[in-house]
Amino acid sequence: MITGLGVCCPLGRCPADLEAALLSGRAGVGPVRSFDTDPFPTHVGAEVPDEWLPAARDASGAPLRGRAESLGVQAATAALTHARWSGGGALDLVVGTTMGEPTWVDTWPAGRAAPPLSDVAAQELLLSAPEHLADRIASALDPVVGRCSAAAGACAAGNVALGMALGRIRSGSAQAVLAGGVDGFSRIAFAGFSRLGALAAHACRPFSADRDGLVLGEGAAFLLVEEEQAARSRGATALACLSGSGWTCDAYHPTSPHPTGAGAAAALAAALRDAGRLPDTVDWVCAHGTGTKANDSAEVAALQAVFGHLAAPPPASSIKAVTGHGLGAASAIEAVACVAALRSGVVPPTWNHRAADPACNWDVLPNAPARLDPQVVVNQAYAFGGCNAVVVLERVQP
Amino acid sequence: MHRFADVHVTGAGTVGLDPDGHPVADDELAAAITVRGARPLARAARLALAASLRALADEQRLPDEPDPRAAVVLGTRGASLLPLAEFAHVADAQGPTRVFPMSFPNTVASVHAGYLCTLLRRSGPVLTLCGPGAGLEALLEAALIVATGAADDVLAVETDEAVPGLVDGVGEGAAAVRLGRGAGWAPGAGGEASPRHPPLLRVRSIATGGGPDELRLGPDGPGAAPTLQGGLSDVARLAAAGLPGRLTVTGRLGVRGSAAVLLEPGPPGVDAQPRRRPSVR
Repeated sequence: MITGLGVCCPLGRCPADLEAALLSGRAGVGPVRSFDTDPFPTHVGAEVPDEWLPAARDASGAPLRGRAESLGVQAATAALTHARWSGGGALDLVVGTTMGEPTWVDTWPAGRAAPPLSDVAAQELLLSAPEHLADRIASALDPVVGRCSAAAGACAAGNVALGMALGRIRSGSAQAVLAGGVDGFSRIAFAGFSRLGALAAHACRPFSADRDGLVLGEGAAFLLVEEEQAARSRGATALACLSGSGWTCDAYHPTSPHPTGAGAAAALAAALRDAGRLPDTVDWVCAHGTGTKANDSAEVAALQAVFGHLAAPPPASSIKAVTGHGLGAASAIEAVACVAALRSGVVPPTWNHRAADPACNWDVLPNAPARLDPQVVVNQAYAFGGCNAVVVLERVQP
Repeated sequence: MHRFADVHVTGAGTVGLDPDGHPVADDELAAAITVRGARPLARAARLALAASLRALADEQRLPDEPDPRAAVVLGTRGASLLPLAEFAHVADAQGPTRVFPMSFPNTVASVHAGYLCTLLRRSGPVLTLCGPGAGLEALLEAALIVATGAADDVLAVETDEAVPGLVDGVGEGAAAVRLGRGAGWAPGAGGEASPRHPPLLRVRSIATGGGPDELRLGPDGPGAAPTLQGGLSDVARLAAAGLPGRLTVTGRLGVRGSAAVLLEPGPPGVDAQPRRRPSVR
């Protein structure tokens, strides 16, 4: 079961702030502040407020604390506080990420990246690795962390981390796992997605006919996943049940989803099978919904493959119009949104939706929250490499 | 402690990992890659592909369609670090709008696993792990995937190219261990020995802990056998060389943690078939 939530993203630093923004449509998107976007055709992003981030380097330019680390530590600490975790038992940590810690390479002065790398550049390159980000977050949580893992699951990393946590709880190798995803706003990632033609000019409009890409974001979210009896014995509050996980690979292309959504559908089916749920039990799909042409049509194709035979298939909505695409943090933030929806009964809509797209023929709950009173929801995530990860979350029965 | 009734090593391969730290020669690496489509891969991914192909050496030909029951778990410390530095260099020297778009994916570690899945026709579960103990963690996760039935055939792969300061004292390289079900192999099980996937070793159990002193060893666990300090590459070498009796391989797990892997010889009476590297049309 899930007993604690922590989040730090452009919409807020607690689950309640996130939920309020998702339901009201308050977006965290604006002009990029972190770096000069003049060379790029797009200038918007979803960044956390500057005051939430301490200085990354000291006056001499030496590394202090990276942006991803700052986000991750805040969210991880908040999740443990929310769960009233006392540190009395063993705790595993699984950190999902796309870019690791981009701060150091992002802030290199001109010429530092030139080969052969200087000793300083090589050292800062090592600090960029996902393992180092995970280790730094673990260090901030010491002495509570036992095993620590870095899941480089890219844009599906949050769901991958949750799936790993579920596996450890089920196998008995852990009784409590703090799992989530982290990515900091990155100039490298902005340049990369820009060159791939994936960035929206002004706004993210998932599933809308006039969508033109994603808005790059950032953030971190962690969920404390505990074995049920252990959680109950320490008096923890059950917020939701994490009941299933499915991973697949498209085996198709490094950046583009399979146009038929075959791999995504297989991950969704695997997650439902793992949860012991039939498709007709699902009440809401928290979609990956990046706002790119290719992703959204492939995702709807996957939904049609799994739910299309139902008389009343579950609606799906994407929160990325207001959160931006937090990369490795995205599906962890969305998992927090799923828990909020399971508890409140109200699901967030797809904001910024303007026109139906025949290639996205699905109920995507445009622009208005819906009281669906969901009992079972699925959280979808797809990533570079064709890596798909889906988790199933359920309302906890009192 | 994870106990496995039915998880076997059915193939293994290594590339490089020279104890004197020598890099893998480009022509050796090129010769080891017998499938098409490897050109966009970063060097660490090419090393991983070469080791994987050696682990799949008893395949006559890769399937035409991706196999949803075949999976990949990749472990690495810095497979994306040098591609990241190269991306940053081009953006710095030529401008961020001049970088080659498809060089960006190689800065993300999951892409290397995705390339392996694509080129080796595997569409089952895929997972990428990082850390100094990512190799043994890949083996653990691969064994769990087999044991839970999420896939029947899983490649656990560890790879790293020579990043300054990352793999000090050991040459770049990769190791791949192929895991599968032993059903039909165990003597008396009634199944015929498949000529395609002869078991080389049995993975009996894997104990995990937060540190070397925290491994929870059961009476039938890893503590019951001689111990070798090592990693995934040692498991691969043991599989290739054969194992006269039980042996425990202990080492780091993930970012923080430790593991002890209890290995046993594979079922007797099964001779490995002649092996050659697979190809595609």
